[in-house]
Amino acid sequence: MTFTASLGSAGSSTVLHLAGRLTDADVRTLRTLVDQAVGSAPRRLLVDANDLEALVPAGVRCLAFAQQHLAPGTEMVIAGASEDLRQALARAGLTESMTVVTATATATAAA
Amino acid sequence: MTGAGPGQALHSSHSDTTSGYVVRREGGRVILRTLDDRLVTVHLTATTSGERLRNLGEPYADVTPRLYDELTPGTLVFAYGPVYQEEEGPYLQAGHLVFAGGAAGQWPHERAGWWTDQLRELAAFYRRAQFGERDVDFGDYRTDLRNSGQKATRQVQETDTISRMVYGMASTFLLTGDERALTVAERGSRYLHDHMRFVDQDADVVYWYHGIDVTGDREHKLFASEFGDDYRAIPAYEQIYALVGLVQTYRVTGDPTILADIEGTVRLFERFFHDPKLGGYYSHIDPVTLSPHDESLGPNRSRKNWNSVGDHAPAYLFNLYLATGAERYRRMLEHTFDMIVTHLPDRSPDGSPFVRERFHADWTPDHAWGWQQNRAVVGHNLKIAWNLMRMQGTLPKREYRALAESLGKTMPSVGLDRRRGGWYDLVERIPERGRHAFVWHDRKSWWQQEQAILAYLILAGHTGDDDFLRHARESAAFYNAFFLDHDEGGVFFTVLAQGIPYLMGNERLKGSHAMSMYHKAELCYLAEVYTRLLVHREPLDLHFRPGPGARYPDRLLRVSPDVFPPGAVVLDGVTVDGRPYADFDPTELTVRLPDSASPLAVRATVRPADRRN
Repeated sequence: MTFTASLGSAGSSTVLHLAGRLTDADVRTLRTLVDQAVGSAPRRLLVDANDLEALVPAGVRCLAFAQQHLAPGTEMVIAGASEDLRQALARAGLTESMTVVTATATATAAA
Repeated sequence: MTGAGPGQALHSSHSDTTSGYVVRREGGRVILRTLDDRLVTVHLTATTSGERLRNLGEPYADVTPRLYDELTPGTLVFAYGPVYQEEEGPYLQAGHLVFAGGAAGQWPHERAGWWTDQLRELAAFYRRAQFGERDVDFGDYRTDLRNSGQKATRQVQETDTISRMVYGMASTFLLTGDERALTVAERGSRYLHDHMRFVDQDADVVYWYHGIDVTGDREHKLFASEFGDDYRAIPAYEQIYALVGLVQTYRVTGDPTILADIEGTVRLFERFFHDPKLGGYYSHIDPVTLSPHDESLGPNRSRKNWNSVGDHAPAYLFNLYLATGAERYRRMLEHTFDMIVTHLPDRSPDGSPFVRERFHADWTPDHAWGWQQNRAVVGHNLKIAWNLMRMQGTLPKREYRALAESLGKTMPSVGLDRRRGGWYDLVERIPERGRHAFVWHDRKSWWQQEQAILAYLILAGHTGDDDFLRHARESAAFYNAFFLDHDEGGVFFTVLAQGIPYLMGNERLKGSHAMSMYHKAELCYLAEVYTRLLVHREPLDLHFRPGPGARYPDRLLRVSPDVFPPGAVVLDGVTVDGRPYADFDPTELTVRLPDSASPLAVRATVRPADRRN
């Protein structure tokens, strides 16, 4: 599935919805949305990764970049992370910096 | 307001430092020969005080009651006091004298162990500042340290300042065998691995976060640089210095985890910073695309600079080559030095004696970048001379030596304060009115003194040139006289031209970027090595602590303290866990490690090849 991304809000959270397979060609799109999300100074940034099938390392770096530029104390949550994504975030040292909810946990919570 | 009359002008004064060698004393008048070979008279008063140069950790050495006895011909003196303008010229009144040695060729800072003792004191200062009397836990580490060593309010841990501190501690262990220092180095290395590392499995590289903010209850990762020059980019400079402590610790322990991180970062340089077509390394890459050509980089787009090309060698690459003996690292060193001698010297008609420091991708000089414009950092020129001479030790080239010697001969006339001693900071590359104007100020920073001391020590050691040795000694004297903070510990970032500490803004801090324990520790480590082995031709002991899983190529511990020409330095003896050990190669300076289930305490005694004990 081709990559799509959109920005929305839910309560006090800014929601970045990611879907499909993120390739290097899609990174610019993601980066633009990340900049917009960070620029809106959210109290919480929720990255909805439930429909994200795969992403290249540049996508992880986008998330690292987003995390850095959120105001201190702002929570960043990756919801619905696949095991591959969780491992990529762990290798990037980001699991200490954001809340990562795996797809299984999300499904369980929703059940 | 009326103008000052002639009489008032004559009575104006300022205070200043005059440096020179005692020629003779005539009552209260002291004739000094200055560093630029002029004769000046300094006038003692009834209240002139004096001290001998002292090291960190040593008590004040007052010689006030016997000033006349100390003013022996050949002694280098730093005289500070009021200068009155008189019709026949300035009248120098001595308020305080620092006696820096030099008479009969005796220099306190050339005493065996001077620099080692200084390093031991620095290690104690930084250990105490970061961890107090507690166990070493890098969760407590903070980059910002006030002048006293007290932590400031900003709760940031920068990767490079940790790595620089790790470097200092590993170097302390190398010279002293102090296990406490090694503990700091090993735990700091592990902390970097656990908290600052970004593993990119697809590209098979490692890169390092700028740092983390630990203000809240979770780590706030700082991915791209937070510094103004490099903002929102990944500068080569930061990735280079992330390795400085890791490599020095790996040298000591052979830790395979550290080696894997080092190798991953070197692959980062080769894959994303290196320009395979025109050579050299780009200065910045975009944090997301890892491209040096990304539009987001603004003025740093498609740029190369002195740091991105030249800092590999001193920061980690020489030490990595020393630890591994790997040909690929020697070739990488060669490439960086080839780029330096090819592109940095100014060969234009009426060219500047200073190198060029910033370039476009095609090596066209960039004289429009930020604060640099067409300006020279004096210390970079000295650093080039120093490291080119090191490279002569493993891959001698006529071009390397020529540029090193040329810079060594030229810099004193354009970068040295020949009235007071010490090396200046940033100057205009092109002279006007017969001088290279100061860009911001005429202050002096500690790291540039380091470059001078090491450059002239190694130039003197390899050429036998007395002028180079004199510059090394005078530079070391100025540094030891004015940069050591005997009250609070550590060294000062900056001093005014006359040597008074400048404690304003970021320059009052002691743990910050650059100020953390790298340059000052590197100076101590290598000044001890060069002074002992190259100048005084004395033996030197080094300490290593390879673990049971140590991963050195061929399981050989390489103990050469620095890069020297083959056969210049030999390994004279080895002990392992306190007992003599015979399985070593004296000329290759390698030790074949025995199998062991626990870390080994290896002590290696090296000496100049032409000296027998």
